[in-house]
Parts: sequence; structure tokens; C-alpha cells
Amino acid sequence: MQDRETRTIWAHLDGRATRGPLQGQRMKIIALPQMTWGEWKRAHKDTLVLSNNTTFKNQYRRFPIGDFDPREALYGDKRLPANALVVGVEVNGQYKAYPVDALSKAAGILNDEINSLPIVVFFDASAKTGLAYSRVVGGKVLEFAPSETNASQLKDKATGNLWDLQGRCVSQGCEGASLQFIPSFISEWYGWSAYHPDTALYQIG
Amino acid sequence: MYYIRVKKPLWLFFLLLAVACGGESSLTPQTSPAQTPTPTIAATLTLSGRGPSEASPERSPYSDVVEGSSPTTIASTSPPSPTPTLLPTLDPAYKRQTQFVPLYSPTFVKAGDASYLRDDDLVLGLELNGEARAYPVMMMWYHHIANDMVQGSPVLITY
Repeated sequence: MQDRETRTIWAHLDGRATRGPLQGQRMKIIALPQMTWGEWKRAHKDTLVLSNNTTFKNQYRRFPIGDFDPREALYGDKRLPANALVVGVEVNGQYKAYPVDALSKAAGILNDEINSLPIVVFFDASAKTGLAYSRVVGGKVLEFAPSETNASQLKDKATGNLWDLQGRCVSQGCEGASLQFIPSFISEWYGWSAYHPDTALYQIG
Repeated sequence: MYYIRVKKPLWLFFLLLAVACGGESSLTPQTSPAQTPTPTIAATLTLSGRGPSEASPERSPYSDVVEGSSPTTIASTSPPSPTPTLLPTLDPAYKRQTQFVPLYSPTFVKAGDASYLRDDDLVLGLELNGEARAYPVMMMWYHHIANDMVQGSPVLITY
């Protein structure tokens, strides 16, 4: 993509200016989780939503994400099927992909480290959402497990505190605490692996 | 802006890029670590351009910048980049250069008025400066880019 003011070329996937006057600069990535509309509005009752009343109203289509498309099978590396969904995570220039399948087998939660930073990656199959957060909270490293009572919450093992998928602590006594977002989003493997050919891939076991 | 559109998006581009904070020019990204530029897929996949497309009905707030300037495509301003070895070549029969139309100054409705969405539809959710906004995937799949302003913060939504 290109900005109109300077005509600098920017990469969609990570906000780097690759050509032009602003080459070398990078936009700050902030959290933009994919989620079902039902779950998003349940968690954000006052949310606004993009109006579909545009000139292009009749162009909008639902389409399947993550389904096999033979034309896309050409892309990416072969460690995973082209259309496999992953949660792609970046820590200081190191990239790692967590297959949604692997996350589901781990009850939706993986505690890991990238570039020496402890992170937790989650995927909630019902809300179709997934992201990564730092596990460092208040100078301590936490380890997370699924909540027994709420499928869309994480429990930190040390204190038993529960955290919602937006990274907010929801237990009594920890109000206001939140997990730090780590640049991450859900991607089809072919796109992630072609853009980050040196990406690590989380392996089960 | 020119790009190849395939039946499904080449990428699941749902990251969100926030540009400079309010008050600053959006020309200046907030963070500028000296990064080695990475060859981009956008550059390597972009074909030589056609002229500007039929006028976009979406008026750009920057139209004064664009009007009167010569047609520019990503390709014409972007010399060929080294192609990552894993980057495949598009099947020529599959190439179709299409312009996509970013959203500028998009408008929003309340959740209760979004009758065009089903609960199982996907959205991209943003919480910023105390405000929550949702960007339906079925719209972002078409536009790919939305230039938005949330409580004074200019943000770029890409998909």
C-alpha cells in the first residue's frame, strides 16, 4: 500500500515502509483481534460497527477462511497446508506461527517463549479469536491454563486469577491489571510463511 | 493503488497499524526503529499498472494531493525487490490486476442497528482510547484498507 502524502510504499503485514521517503520507518502494531460479531458485541456492548451503507454495499461477501483453496496451495512452505490457520506472533523481529490445530489440542492455550520473552498464545474456537500476550506481569512471569469455568478465559496458575480474551484480569483483587499485547494475528499459513520465510513453527510435543 | 486481487485475499491482513498520535501529522509514524526493509509481497506481486481507475465514489480527504498528479502504481515506484525463495510465481491465468478501494472517513452504526451482520460473522475488533469499533471481515475483504480516526488517534486497518 502507498500513502498519498509521500508515496511511500508500506507493507500491509507488518507496517514497514519499504520504499520511498519514509523507508525504514514502521507503524506501531496494535491489537485487532478477529472475532465473531456475537462475541465482540457481547464483550463490548457499546461498540460501534462499520456501516455497510457505502457505494460498495452489494460487493460485500461472506467467504470461508482457512478452507482449502487449490489455487492457494501453490503458496508458502510445505510445513503446513497452505490454508491452515495459524496465530502468527512477532517478538523483536523473530516470528513464530502457532497452528490453530495445535492450540486446540492444548485446550486453546500455549505458554511459550520467543526471543527470550515469555508469551501466552490462545485460540478460542467458539469465538474464532486468537492472539498473543506477554506473560510478564508486574515483573513476574505467569503461566496460564484454561479456566475450568469459562472457555473464553485464561487462568494464571500461580494466583488462580482469571483473564479475559482482551487480556484484562477479571478476578477480584486484580481489577485494572492487563496483559501486554504482543504483535500477533490470525493468518492463513501461506501468507504468513511467504512473508516471513524464516518463521519458526510451533511443533506439538 | 493497485494490487492483485485473488478470489480470497492473498493475506489475512488483519493487523492494525496505528500511525502517529493525535496532533501529529500522520506522515510521521510514531516509532521508527532502523529496520532493514523487507522485500514485500505487495511489491513483488504487483504488475505494471494501468491508468487511474474510474473515479472512486469515495471521496478522499487527500484528494487535493492526488488530483493533478500523474498515475502512479506501486510497481512504478517500486523497483523489483529480491524475491524470497519461497515466494511462488503467480499462475498467469490467475493474475488479474484490480484496484481496490480503501475506505476513508468510514461511518459507523450502533451494534443494534447492524442488521446486516449475523452473530457468527467475523469482525476485526478494536479498542482504543476507551472506544470499541468493529470492522466486518466481509467489508474489509473488499476494501482491504480503512483509514480511520478513533478519538483523535489516526489508525489504519488492513486486511
